[in-house]
Amino acid sequence: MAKKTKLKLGFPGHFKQVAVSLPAGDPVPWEFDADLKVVGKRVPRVDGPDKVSGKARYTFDLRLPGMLHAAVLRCPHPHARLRRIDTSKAKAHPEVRAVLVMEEKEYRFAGAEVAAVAATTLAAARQALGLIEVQYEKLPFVTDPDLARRPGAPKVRTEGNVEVSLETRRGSVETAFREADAVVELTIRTPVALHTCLEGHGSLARWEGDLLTVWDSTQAVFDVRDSLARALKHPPENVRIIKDHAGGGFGSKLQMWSQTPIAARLAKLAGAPVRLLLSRHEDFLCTGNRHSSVQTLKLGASRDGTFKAISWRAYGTGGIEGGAETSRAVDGLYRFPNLEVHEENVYTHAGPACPMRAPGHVQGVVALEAAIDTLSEKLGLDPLEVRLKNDPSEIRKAELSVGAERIGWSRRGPSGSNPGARKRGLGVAGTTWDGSGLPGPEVEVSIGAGGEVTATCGTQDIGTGTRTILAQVVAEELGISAAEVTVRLGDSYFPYSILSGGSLTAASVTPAARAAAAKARASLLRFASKELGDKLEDLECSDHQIRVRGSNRSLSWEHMAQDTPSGRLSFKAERQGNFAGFEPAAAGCQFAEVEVDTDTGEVRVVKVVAVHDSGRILNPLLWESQVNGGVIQGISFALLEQRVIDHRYGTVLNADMETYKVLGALEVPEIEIIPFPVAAGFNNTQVIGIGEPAIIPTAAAVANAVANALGVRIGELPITPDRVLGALESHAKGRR
Amino acid sequence: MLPLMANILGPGKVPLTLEINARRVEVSAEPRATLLEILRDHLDLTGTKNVCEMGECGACTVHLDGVARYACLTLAVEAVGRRVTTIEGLSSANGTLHPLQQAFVEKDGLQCGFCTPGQVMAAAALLAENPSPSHDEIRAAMAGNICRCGAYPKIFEAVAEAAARMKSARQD
Amino acid sequence: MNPFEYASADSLDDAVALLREKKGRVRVIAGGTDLIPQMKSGVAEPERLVDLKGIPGLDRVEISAGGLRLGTLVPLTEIASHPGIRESHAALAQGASAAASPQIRNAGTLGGNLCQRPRCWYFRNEDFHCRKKGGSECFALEGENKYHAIFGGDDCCIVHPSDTAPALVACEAEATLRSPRGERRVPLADFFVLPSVDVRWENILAKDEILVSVFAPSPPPGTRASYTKIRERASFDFALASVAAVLTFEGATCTRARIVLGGVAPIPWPCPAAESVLVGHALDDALIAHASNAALEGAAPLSKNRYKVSLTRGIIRRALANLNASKEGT
Repeated sequence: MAKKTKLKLGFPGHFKQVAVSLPAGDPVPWEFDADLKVVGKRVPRVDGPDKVSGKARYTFDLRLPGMLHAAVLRCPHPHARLRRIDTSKAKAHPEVRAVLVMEEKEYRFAGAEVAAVAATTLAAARQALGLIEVQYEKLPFVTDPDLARRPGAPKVRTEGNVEVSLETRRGSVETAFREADAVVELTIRTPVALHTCLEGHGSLARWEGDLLTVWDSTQAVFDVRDSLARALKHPPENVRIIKDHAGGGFGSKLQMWSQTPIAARLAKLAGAPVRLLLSRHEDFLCTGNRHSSVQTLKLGASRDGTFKAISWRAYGTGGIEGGAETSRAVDGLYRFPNLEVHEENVYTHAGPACPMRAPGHVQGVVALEAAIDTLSEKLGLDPLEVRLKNDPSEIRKAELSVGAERIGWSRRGPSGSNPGARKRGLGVAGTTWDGSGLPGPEVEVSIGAGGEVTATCGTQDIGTGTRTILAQVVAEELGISAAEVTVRLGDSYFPYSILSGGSLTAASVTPAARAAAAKARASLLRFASKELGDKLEDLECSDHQIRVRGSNRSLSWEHMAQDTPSGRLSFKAERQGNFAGFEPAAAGCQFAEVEVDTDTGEVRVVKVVAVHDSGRILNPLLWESQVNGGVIQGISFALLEQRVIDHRYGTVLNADMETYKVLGALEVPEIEIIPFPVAAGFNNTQVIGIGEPAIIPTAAAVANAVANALGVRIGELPITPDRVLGALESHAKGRR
Repeated sequence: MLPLMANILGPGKVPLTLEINARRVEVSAEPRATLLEILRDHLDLTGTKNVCEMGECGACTVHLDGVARYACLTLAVEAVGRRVTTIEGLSSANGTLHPLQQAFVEKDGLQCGFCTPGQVMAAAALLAENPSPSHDEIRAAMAGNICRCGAYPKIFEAVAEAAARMKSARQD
Repeated sequence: MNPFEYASADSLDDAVALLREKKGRVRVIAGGTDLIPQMKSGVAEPERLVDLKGIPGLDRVEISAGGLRLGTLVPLTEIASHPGIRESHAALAQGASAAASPQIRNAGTLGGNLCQRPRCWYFRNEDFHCRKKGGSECFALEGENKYHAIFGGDDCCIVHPSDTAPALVACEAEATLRSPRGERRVPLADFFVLPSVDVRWENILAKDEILVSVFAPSPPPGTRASYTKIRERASFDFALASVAAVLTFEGATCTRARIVLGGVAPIPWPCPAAESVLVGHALDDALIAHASNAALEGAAPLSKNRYKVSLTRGIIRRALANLNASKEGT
């Protein structure tokens, strides 16, 4: 039976009593200002020592006795059909143990898998690929989304290259635009970006009879288990996926990619474990990307800056699959009484897209915030005031005020008003993302015969600190330190959890951990009460024992565990559904200051102020790291990153880390992080994820700051010197 | 004119004696084997990471005679007669972390941790050469190590903190 | 990477003799920071490497009254940080420090930096059999040519990637080459060749020839020099455009000027027209603007690199203004 009660939700100055229906048996949420001993503290990452010393083993580091190495033959053409393949020479290679030809005989992007080889060494496997004789029938292709939209373009799929991915209407935008005092329209383009997690995609597969174990570099052990079982038509209970440490993901490891079934099938054929680790080049071609976008936004407002309507027409390409949409953030960020959205996903003969940190939001917010600045300029209003006027979130409005002060928003001059060659500019953007978590994950907390505490859950730590916050929450409930909790995760034989993505993990997993630890605590107290003959209210749980207050009598957990038949006390709890929250999602905003050199086109981000709420901050140290990471990836997207395809040949030209440029140490600006704690509701730890909120506004704020510096809008990301100089040149011509 | 003096090895496997983390090791490898392959595949020293294989990211940074190098761009045969130090050799034999490693943990100079051994080794080479680096010198020295998670601000803090601690330890 | 044999040379005689065998499928290795990626991506498939690092004396830095002599094996890190070089040949030191990343500068040598192959992404991609690889087409001319040449790239529009080469050419350096036929000395400016001369190779080195050392004469008193490099990613990147400028002043008058561009042509690109604008005059904003315009005359930008014209003009202007401001007595 759910328990109906009222919780004090909000933030200082804005608290209110909110009626909630708490799940039965779930611990009551900690109060906003609860005096917690471990949660909310700057606890260093529990796996830090292993990671800094090189001891932590990632999937790429694993070896098994007798293990074979695999390599994949990939189609070099963007669109081709297999005419003939002869693998006999590869099979005859003395070191080759298995050769596999893919069932799919039509290849729709350059890099698609054709065949795979397992051999005793990687060099032999790669050499054997060269022995496979293959003839392709080259087919018409299109990799440029603008060309793919045209009638008569080569078809990527039989239904046609364009699909409407999102269509929404509210009110009448036509009327509203007619009645608006100011209307602006602009088009913003964003490129295809690559996740570039430093640990690429790799799998190590081993069969023991019918049991298939795969060590996989994944963000989702259960999803990979199910996908692999389906792909191999093998019972899921006989498939085990393990991922201990993961070298990043950012969305590119949420789904199973082909290296997993290929490794498993080669291992079966060869009768030996097979390891298939994709090279950086392969990783960049085949394992996902952030879809591109061309967004045309029309915005109308009244003289005082109140938004009247928005029209959002966009298309983008996610290659052969993965979809494209950009407008999902619009309602979370601003109030538009009239709205029209039309979004198209354009199929092209290029590698598949997949979610990448804050999918759609990163691209969409760049366009939306650009349109707002353009509109504000037209109305002669301060773009910050315009935002405050239209923002539905009490939290973000408070954050905008804090951030404006920290960046020194009052210094912001009219766009392009800076004299000299090096021009400074300021920009702002908002974020919205619902990372309040999902039900389903289960956590088991156990106390062993030595009194040791273990929390077990099949979730993943992809660098966000899941291991550490789980230890903290369990430690808090049991009155011990985080270091005294061993966390085991990343195994589909462990209790179920959801994928680690979408800023969902902390809010989905820690409430289950807290519930399991609370069960453990209650049970220990009951057991001790019976054993010691003391009343429950006279007992306390700390220091690995149950003590009787005001006496020296106690009962150790160790003793209680040993007293059970298994020698181990074990408690499991499941994450229940969300209850009501203060606001529907996390808010947040960022301000950027840039310096643009008009002689060289260089853009330097001088400072970013990032103000973020994410409910309760479980660990400020790790939370700051998440925000730093979002800001830095956001700047990287704004200024550096873009996949380049030569559309004449359909070939990716920069599938490497020299020419696909991600931000390095010298590009890092001063980042001032301002945490904005909120009693958010939703779940018993009152946590909301911070992974996506932290990246969403950065590129938008940087792009707006550049426009403020120059007085010219660079309509395409990344904002590289060629684009800055090109835009300045056309601007100067236009004025002449 | 014949190159009588030259010592030609390979192309097949040849025995190589390397000094890795102050230990002599014998491996048999082709001249084309990189130091990175030897460390990871022959010696199971997997702290040195393989990311780009082309000298573009820094994850395989090791020391060759105390100088930071990319192991993916170094042939194993070139390392013969030179001292190789990897992340596994940075902490002391009893497992006590190097002050840099300790500072990386405390300041959270890492997230996923995959670039971390390379970052630590780049920083260790810097501090060996320049025990009191300025903020700008730290950033410049770390410019060859990509961190996709974006841990840079805390990496810089960790390096500065370790430098300060090592300095005060020397003065004690 | 294909298998190869590895020969460690003890002497230059050894090295050049080792180069003559295997029908020219031999390459020298020093730092290896460019050669190893070339081999990994299939751009280079030598059957033998000749390692120069065992040859005594090739890593020597010699500073004399006459000038600076650098052995081919001097690491970029040493050039960047050497107090004597920073003093006498600032543009070179700045060029070396702007190259690549710290780890690559530790391994990479002067000789390797001067002889590195172009970064053109068609050249480096196995799927494109371009003119430089013996094919019949330059794919960049009509393709993705944002990073390509605006000068001298009619047949093959690569840019020379070296950061030390423009600086050394501006210093009027001389290269010493060694082959089984003996030793020859050439002005470094003549060491590099345009694709119209040799589309397959960027310099005059014969297959059995080694760049042994480089000599840069001491500049006359009153000389100021700098190297300015613009890149998309400051941490680690090749130049979109760079300029080495070496100016000699007597009082306020510029008596000698050398301006050499990087990242805009298949070779370090000298700017005699700009130099002659400056010589014999006191520099002011108008003259500097005139010179930087003159430097870009004849530029032939491609479809996606028009920006390099204004970028290059901008950095020449800035470099000249800074040098003028730093001259003695100002």
